This record gives sequence, structure tokens and C-alpha cells, in this order.
Amino acid sequence: MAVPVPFGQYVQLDSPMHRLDARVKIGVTAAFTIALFAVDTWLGLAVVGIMAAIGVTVSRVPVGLAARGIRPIAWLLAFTLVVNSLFPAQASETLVQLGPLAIDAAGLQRGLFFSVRILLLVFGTSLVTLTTSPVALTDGLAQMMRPLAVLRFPVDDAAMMMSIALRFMPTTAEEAERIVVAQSARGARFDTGGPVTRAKAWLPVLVPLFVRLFRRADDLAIAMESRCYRGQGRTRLRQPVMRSTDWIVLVVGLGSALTIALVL
Amino acid sequence: MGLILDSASYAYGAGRPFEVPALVGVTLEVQRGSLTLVLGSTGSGKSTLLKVAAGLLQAQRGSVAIDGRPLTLDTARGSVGLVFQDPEAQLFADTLLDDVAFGPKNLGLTPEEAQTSARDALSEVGLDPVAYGARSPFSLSGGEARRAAIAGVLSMAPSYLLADEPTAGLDATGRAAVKRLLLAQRERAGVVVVSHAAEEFLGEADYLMILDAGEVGWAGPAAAAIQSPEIFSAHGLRAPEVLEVQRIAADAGHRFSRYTLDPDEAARMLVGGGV
Amino acid sequence: MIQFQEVSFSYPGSPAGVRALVDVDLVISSGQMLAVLGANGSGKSTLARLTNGLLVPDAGRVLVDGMDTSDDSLGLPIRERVGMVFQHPDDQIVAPAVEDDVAFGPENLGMPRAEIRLRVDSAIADVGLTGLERREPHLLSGGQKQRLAIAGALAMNPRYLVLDEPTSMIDSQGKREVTEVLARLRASGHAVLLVTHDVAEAVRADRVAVIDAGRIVFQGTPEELLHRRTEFGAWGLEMPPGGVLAERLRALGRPIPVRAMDAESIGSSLWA
Repeated sequence: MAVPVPFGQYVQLDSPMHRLDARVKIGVTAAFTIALFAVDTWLGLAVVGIMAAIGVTVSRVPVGLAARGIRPIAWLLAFTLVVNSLFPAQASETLVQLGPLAIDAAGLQRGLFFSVRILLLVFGTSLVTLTTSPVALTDGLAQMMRPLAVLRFPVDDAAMMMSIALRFMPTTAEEAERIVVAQSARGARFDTGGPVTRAKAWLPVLVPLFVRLFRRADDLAIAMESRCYRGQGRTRLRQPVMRSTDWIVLVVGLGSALTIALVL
Repeated sequence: MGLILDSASYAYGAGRPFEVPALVGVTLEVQRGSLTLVLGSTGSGKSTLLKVAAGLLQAQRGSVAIDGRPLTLDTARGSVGLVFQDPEAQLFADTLLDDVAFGPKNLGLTPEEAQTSARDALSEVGLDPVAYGARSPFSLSGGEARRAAIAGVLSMAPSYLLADEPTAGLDATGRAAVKRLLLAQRERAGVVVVSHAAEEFLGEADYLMILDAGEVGWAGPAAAAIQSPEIFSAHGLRAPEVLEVQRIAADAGHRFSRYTLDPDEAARMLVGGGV
Repeated sequence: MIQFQEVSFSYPGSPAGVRALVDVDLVISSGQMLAVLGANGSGKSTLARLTNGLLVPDAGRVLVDGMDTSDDSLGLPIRERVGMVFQHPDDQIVAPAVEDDVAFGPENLGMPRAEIRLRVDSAIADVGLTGLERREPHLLSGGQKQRLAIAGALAMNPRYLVLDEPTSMIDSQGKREVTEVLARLRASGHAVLLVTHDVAEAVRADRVAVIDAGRIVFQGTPEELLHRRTEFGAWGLEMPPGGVLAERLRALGRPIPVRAMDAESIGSSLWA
């Protein structure tokens, strides 16, 4: 049976956040990312944090799920905190002395500040991927790239590439799994030996996988040609339309991000 | 002795909220010298059954044993051969001989021993090692590649051979060759063929197991299955055409003393209105 | 009408004298279903790829409604008329959702959005996939994937539909689904070219051409094909068990139609 291949972290729900145009979500998140780096006060971080909290509430995504994106960066946060408190840019008073290590008060504060900033950054971006289907996300990105056509950037080709990548990721993952199983059954081991042995062990998987990918690319090119693909002159079935709520969220979102960046 | 699954269960993502049970309490006993046909529609758990029987997945409940020992990746090595669906996907080496020798080498044979096993296996699948041994596996035709991939499993001389849809996508000549090959393996191994179609192997099988939604829908001697053709449709499968005609005839009121897969006999019985 | 006129073709790089197709004469008429029957490596897929100019003949001509496929400037109108479906369901689905994939052809033709919408909805309905518009292709069954591929071709409103072994990689349930869709298409007046190695599939067509080693060795009705039964082995073909049973029944005096090789049609003709 087909094992569901988890793709991204999209949580299919119906919420105002889910219904929002992907471009608005990407744009506003980008604006807040910039704002996050511009603010240098705790008040600024707090305001951004409140905005993020409102976002999660509106999205109806369980907080536990939304927080899952933070787990992989836990080490980064800890590292930021430790490095800043132990090796402050400018030493101030020592809070605690642990043998040769001194925890610096200002350093600790700085570390906390950076950590929260990273936390909010990851939280905000995962809010986009949690509430936007991969299809809508690539469509939105493709739309946002459109102005680059003026610079002769091959916008249509890029959009097509993203769409095909999205289409074939699960298929390729399934195929890789099948080949791993087949080679395991022939006695191949992927979990023993040093790094070189391990890397070599993957050869019997990678070679057939690439052979397949190239053949698939050939077949796909023929299929696309048969369906009149020319790389240009395409119209689209799906054209994201900005509704009034989208415009309102965009203006309010960009406005508040700008205000936070400039004022706080 | 034998390859024995005793009430084996397996679920993907076990213990997590999106747990997907794929195999539920399946019991199967495979002895050397026998051919077992496992039938099931798409999503019935066939692939999972194969992986569990090959030691690639560990049953979460129940037990799996091979010749009296618990089946693990280690005890399965070299003893259980798996011909996966579309097995030509496993071909990777520069030459066919190297490719077929991959399994024996993994079992710890010396390069010379491995080459000898590989040559024997190639001859067995009808690919002359002298003519084919030095060729690239990617230069073979569809039917040849399928047989080469099977040689890559036979070279390990497994006591149990599991094959998933071994004839899918092949034409008449290719199907006949692969079928002959697998039937010949029964001489020295326990063979399990997993398929969605009863047509190809039912006549030759010793045992039949039908999987339905991860559970055993029917199990017993293949000869008994032929005498109860309604079991196929009861589990979302199609009986072999010759048998299905007799089932339709029985529904229409004809009485047969016995059902048969043989078209000649079936025709005589249908025309005679029974035997 | 698609005409093959003394068409020969060799793949570049193949040894001298090895030709994939040799002097092929063939006509695919509107409103008709033609099966091209042959073993693996007989040249049947090559023949399919010559119908819409993916390949062009070395010698001879292929004409689609009079348009020569070797004329580059006619590529688009030819492909718009000749829809094509391939063997591997996974390798022809382009988009990450069902309806986007069906829309791919019309999008390439630069159609207005409203027209694309109409065509997509009607093609999806034609193959019975209504309700699965937003489904991701890798979550579909084999039969559904092939029906999606057919819908993708239909959305271009082709006159001819060319299918290259569409059922050889899918299970029996999927085969039945695809066969039903093909029967409906033929009934609605489409010309269908079905490339297959399955005799039971081929005899459902109006006409059958058998190809062996690049040459057309037989052309005629399914009835005429069965008169050449003794040559099946030499052509690399196999009579399926249902066909064998039908033969035996005919030998015993029962009037089983030539097309009946499956249990239901044999049954219904036995007790009509």
C-alpha cells in the first residue's frame, strides 16, 4: 500500500488564514521578517509576537503543530543563548560564576533577544507553510516572480519547473524507497561501517534512481510535447484573484510591519 | 521448518495519531518445495506482507520465524530472496555479471565465488553468461532486464523466494519465461508469488491466500479455491476468466460436479450442461 | 484520417539495416477504433509516436488530415488533433493536482480561462473522475492515473486518440476502468488507435493491424484475425485463456462472437 509521503507541513483546514491569497501571506511574512531584524527593543519583539499569536489563532492550527517547526532549531537557540551569555560582545557585570565560565548579564539578555527573534522568524514562516497548500504556494511564488520577466528572467519556465518538482517529489520518494527495499533484500546494508562505506552503500540505490529519473524526464518531455507545450504563450486555469479581504490584510500587514520597523 | 508468519501485524506510523494498519493478524506458512499465491487488490497489504516476510519490516504483533529461528534482517540475509515489483529498478552495476554478483558479495562470498554464483544464476534465467555477462544491464530489453534482476536474487540461492507481480508489463514471451523460471525454483525453494491477478499462477500454485484490507480473506489449498470461485469476487478480485464463466453458468442454474481451469474441459462441461 | 504511406523509420545510432518500422501502410479513419497488436520490440510504440510528429519517418509520409508530420510549422495543429496517452501512468502527469493536469493542454494552447474551465470539467466527467479535481496524482490508483492521462488528452478536443499500451502497467480493476472509458469514447465518435500486446483488448476494436519486426503482417477485422490463429505464436502473440475457451466452445458448435473473450460476454452469448 502507498505510504503517505509527508510533504511540507500543510495542515488542511478551513480558516480565514487558509483562504488568504498565498501572495499576501508570503508578502506580509516577508515584511515582518524584515521588521524583526529592524527592531531592537523588547517591545518591538513583543508586538511581533502578539501579531504571530493572532495569526495562529485565526489559522485554527493547533498550537502544538505550529510549534513543531521550532524543534529542529532548538539547538540553534540554545547555542545562541550560551555563546552570547558566555562570550558577550561587551562584557558587563557577571551574573553567575561557574568555575572558569562567567555568565554575563548583558550577554544573557542579548542571547535571549536573538533567540526570541529566531523563534518568531521560524514561527512566522511555518505559519505560511502550515496554512498554504504546496500548489497554492508555488502558484503564488510564480505570480510574484512575474515582474522579473522584464529582466528576461524565464518566469514561465521557472514556474513550470517548480510545479513539476512538486508533482514528482512524492513519486520519486516512493521509488527511492522501493529501490532501498530491493537492495536491502540483496543484502545491502546502509547503517554499518564508516562514512566512506556508508556513502558507497548508497551507490546501488542512487544509480538506478538516477537512471529512472533521466528516463522519466525523457518520457515526461515527450508527454509534454504531445500536449502542445512550447514554454510560452500559456494561459492558466488557476489565477489567484485578490479579494477585498486580501487587499485589507496586505495593506494592514505591510503597514504595521513598516511601523514596527521604524518606530520600535 | 519453513517461513512462518504467526498472526503478524504491522502498521505504518504505529503509535502516532495517523497510524495506518497495513497487515492485521496474518498467518502464513511457506515450506520448501511449495508455491504459494498471495492475491489482493491494490492497498490490500501485499507489499507490506512481502517486506515483513523478507525481514525488512518487523511485525509489531505476532511472530515471524524462518526454519525455527526468529526472522530478522540478519537471519533473512541470503535465505529469503525478494523479487520486487519492477525489479529492473535494482540494476546498477557496469556489467551484468557484477550486478548479479552484488548479492553473493554482500553475503561475504569471495569475488571468485560470487562470480561463479552469478554465472550460474544467469544461465538459470536463460541469459548466457558469456554473451551477456559483460554487457551493461541498461542495454537489455524489458524481458531480459526482468530476468537479469531475478538472477540477481537467485545468485544468493535463497531457501525462500518472494516475488511481487513478477510478470507485470511483460508480453506473452516474457511472461512465459518468467513463469517457467519461478516454477522451476520450487524444486529447491519455497516460492511465494504476490499478485492482483489470479490468471497467471493459480493453476500451478499449491496454496492460495487472499488478502483483503490487510487481513486474510481466504486461505487454503489452491485446488480448493478453484472449487469455490465465488471467493475471488467476494474480496474485490477477479477469478480467472475460464473459472468465472463457470461461476456465471452456475448462477444461471447449471450444475457442475467440479470446476476446472482447463478451457477444453470447461467447454465440454458448459456445452453438456454439466458432467 | 491519419495515413501512413510506405513509412520506414530507424532510430539514430541503431546498427545499419536495423529498422524499427519497414514500409508501413496504415489508415486510421474518423470514428473508428484500430488496434495495433504486437509483441515487445515489434515497433508498435514507434508507430504510435509517428502519428503526431514526435518522430518523423525516414522514408514515406505520415499525414494527419492531410497535414504532413514532417512539416515543423504544422506541429501544433497536428498535436491538437492527435491526443496521446502513454504506458507509464506516472511519467505523463505533469501537474501536482488532477484538474491542473487536465488543464495543461488547453493552457499550452493559450485558451481563455473560461474555456479551459469548461473543457477541464467535461474531460474529467468523461473519464469519471468528477470529485477528485483537487487530488494529488500520486494518491490515485493506476486506473485513475491512466484515466487522468486520457482526460488530459481529451481536454484538447482531439479528433484522434492514440494510446500506447495504456493498461499494461495497471491492475485488472484499472484495466476495466480504462476499457470502459475507451468504449464510451468510441461510441461518441472519437477515432482511437490502441497499441497493445493483449489479444483480448485488440479484438474489441473495429479493425486490427498486427505488427511484427517492424512490418505490418496482418490488417483486417477481428474475425479475419482469428482465421490467422496458427500464426499467433510466430508473431509473439498469445491467445488469452478466455479466448481459448471461446474457441473450444465455437468448435463445439456454440456461436460465441469473436469479441467475446471475457467471462461476461462469453456467458451472455451462451445463454442469450
